[in-house]
Amino acid sequence: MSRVLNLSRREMLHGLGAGVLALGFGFPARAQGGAGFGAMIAIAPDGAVHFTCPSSEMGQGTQEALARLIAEELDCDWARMQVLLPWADRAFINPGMGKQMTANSATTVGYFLPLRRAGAAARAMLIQAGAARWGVAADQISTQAGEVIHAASGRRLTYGALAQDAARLPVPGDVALKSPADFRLIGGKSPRKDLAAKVTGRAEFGVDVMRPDMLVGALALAPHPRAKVEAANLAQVKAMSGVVAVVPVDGGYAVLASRFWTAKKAAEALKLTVLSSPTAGVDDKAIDAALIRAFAEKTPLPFPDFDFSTMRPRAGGGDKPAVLAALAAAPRRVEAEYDVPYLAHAAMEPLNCSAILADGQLTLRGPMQSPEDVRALAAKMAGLPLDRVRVEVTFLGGGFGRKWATDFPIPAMQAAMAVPGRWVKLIWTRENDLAMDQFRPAYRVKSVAGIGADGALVAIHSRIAGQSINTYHGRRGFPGMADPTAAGLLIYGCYAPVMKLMEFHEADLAIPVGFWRSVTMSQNAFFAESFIDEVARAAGRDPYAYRRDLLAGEPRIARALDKAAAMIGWDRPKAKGVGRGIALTYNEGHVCAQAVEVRVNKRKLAIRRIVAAFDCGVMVDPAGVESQISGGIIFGLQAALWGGVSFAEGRPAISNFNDVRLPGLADVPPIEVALIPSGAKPGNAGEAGTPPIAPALANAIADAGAGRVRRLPLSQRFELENA
Amino acid sequence: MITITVNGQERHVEAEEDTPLLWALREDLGLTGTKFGCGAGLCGACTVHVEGEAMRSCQIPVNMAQGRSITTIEGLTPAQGLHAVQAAWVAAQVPQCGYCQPGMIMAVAGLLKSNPRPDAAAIRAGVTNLCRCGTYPRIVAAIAQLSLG
Repeated sequence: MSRVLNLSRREMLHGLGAGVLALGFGFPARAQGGAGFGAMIAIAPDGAVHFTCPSSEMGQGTQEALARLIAEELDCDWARMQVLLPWADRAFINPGMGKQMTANSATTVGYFLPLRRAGAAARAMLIQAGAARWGVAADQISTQAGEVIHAASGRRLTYGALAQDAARLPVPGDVALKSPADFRLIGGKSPRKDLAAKVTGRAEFGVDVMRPDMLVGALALAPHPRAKVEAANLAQVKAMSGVVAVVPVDGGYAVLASRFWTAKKAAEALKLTVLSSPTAGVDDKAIDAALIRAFAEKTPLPFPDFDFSTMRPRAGGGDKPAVLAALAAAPRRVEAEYDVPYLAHAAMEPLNCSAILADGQLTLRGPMQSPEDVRALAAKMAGLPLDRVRVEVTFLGGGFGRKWATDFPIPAMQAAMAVPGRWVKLIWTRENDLAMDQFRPAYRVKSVAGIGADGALVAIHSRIAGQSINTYHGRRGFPGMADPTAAGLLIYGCYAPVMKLMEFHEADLAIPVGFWRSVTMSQNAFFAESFIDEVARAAGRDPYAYRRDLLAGEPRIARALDKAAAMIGWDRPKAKGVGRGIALTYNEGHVCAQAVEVRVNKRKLAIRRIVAAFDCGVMVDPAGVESQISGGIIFGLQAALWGGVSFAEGRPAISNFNDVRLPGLADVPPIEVALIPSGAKPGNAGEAGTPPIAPALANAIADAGAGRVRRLPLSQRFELENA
Repeated sequence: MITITVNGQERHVEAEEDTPLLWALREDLGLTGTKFGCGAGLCGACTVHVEGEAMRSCQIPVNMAQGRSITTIEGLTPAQGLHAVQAAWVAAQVPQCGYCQPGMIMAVAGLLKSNPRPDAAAIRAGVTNLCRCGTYPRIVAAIAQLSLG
């Protein structure tokens, strides 16, 4: 998830890309269902193509996108391509990450060329096999929808008929790829292949894994995954009817039975005494005090304004004395302080995982974003060599970053090791899932801007305090540099020319934190885009026009912003109480600009319309991209309106959806998404819709004359009503 | 032993009497299309039809389901092809992660049975299932298509 590391890896990939073997080749064929072309593609004698999709499918649609990449270049019969779910295997790594992990919206970006090369290589091998079969030159042969054709003689053979021969041929080192003008599937509109299984209930999610004689486990959780607990009535619970075992696992105890309901009742009966906990005594007041202390006592780490997230990576900035001097000399200063709370993921499928230890072989099966990391950790903890550990991925009932973590497969493994030879499935209740979340951290920001006599922006200094996700997960950052998940783009690099200084004061808190859809931008879009709006208004300027001036060197970003402004009717007259707000997010692969129209009447907030203009370069599945943006907006809307996890007595004070309000159908205003046509290389879409909605809403509320929102969620001040 | 009628067949269930119907369907009968989301009747992922009416199966103890006719997503799905609501879901490309969709489809199928042409207010009142991916705009579009037909 570290965007800094990704950049260097991504650049490395581009450097290596051209000459290497197509992805998945160079490994023994592991594909299932016919003759193998590398690890992912198999062609059955009847011509059906089986594609083992290397990424995890959690709703973001990359399974569909990756299948199209293969099929586009393989030129197979699309209707006869079947997509299979993956397992942890180095043959499946995302070359953009060097890892098999589905995160950071990096899947389409990372696999785009490698999978097209894999498809093209397999097609070239089929052509070679046809040429050999007919004794003609390969360049006399064409393909069409799963057939190899020799036009001169009118002969044709299906891929299935040639697959065995073709799979034995050497893999071509260099293959020509289709020109975008010839794309049939990339950019096409056919419905996703996974829909039929999902509307009939046939899709296998982690929670649906069923095996003969399987045990099902429920959890009694400690207040913190690293807390030490003791079960006072262990013997009593073990003796309860139907209980097979009570196993200490990371984070608490797993109670195993043949049915979930039996296990759950017993787990609820287990009385845990907390011996020690990293969050002992932590509550909302303690969190607030820790943020205040961080600003006051923690030496800030700078975050450079070399920006891996900008179109043109820009180095420089961060000259503290110069920025402070510029601020001191500025004719006017604007200051503001903002707050955002901890946020829960609340994927609809609660955490779960299944595992079995049998004959010295450990198998895990579940809804994972990080199968490779799970495999390595499980092997290490079980004391098994890697080749004795198999990790299989099911469909994910939502991930949003939560299922990136490895903290939920490990307890399943520990439970399975206590009952060798039997499958064990652990299921977190909704209450467990929320209590054991790895939350998006709470942050507080103090920003200062200096503006000239003409209203022009001169300098911005923004400081952010909160937990470091890297610290919680023991991930090393760059020495002397702030955790990018806290501080990246705290001030937008695209707004030039402005002197900028970003600093991070790390708060001393041990609340479990992790990656939440859009990570850094989930908070920093709100901070950056609210503040620039405040600065514009303080300068007496229109916030959209003010941004436009600052975007002089960024035509791609400006185009998306213009589109969103046009869609919302930025210049149209407004009735009293009506306001419009605009905001954007961007990285090297996308721009998402959003605008909102609201009507505010005292405490009543009605959201009339939300519009988004999105540019992510070439789109493999535009309908999928649209759903990521509209869905991402609703995800961000939830956080903006109602998101926020309180803490009391050392643990999160949330139980179920009565405490974490999710929007229902009735809450969602009309959303329009414009996909901007672009020939730019494919960018990322899964996280882009989420960040701009909170600042766009806050800016619209300010525009409506209802004051500036500097704290989320909005429900602290407003009540949502239907427009 | 408890006997329930599921998808037109009498089925025997050995689960304890207070076990929610949801878990009996999933673990005793292997009907995993009915999903566990919250266990508190708040999200609707476990929606099934009881005597044709959409209900949340996590809130119905299995012994209370005796003698009543239960339809799950597996029973809604015809032997060949798709139910009209499922077909509309595919045409409008509703599902993202898909986890909530069997429950959502059961809720909408139940709504349309009693009110084939629901207006916006009836849809808002009648579809209260939760979807975390945010598929609501396409759900509304799919229901609009169904109401035309």
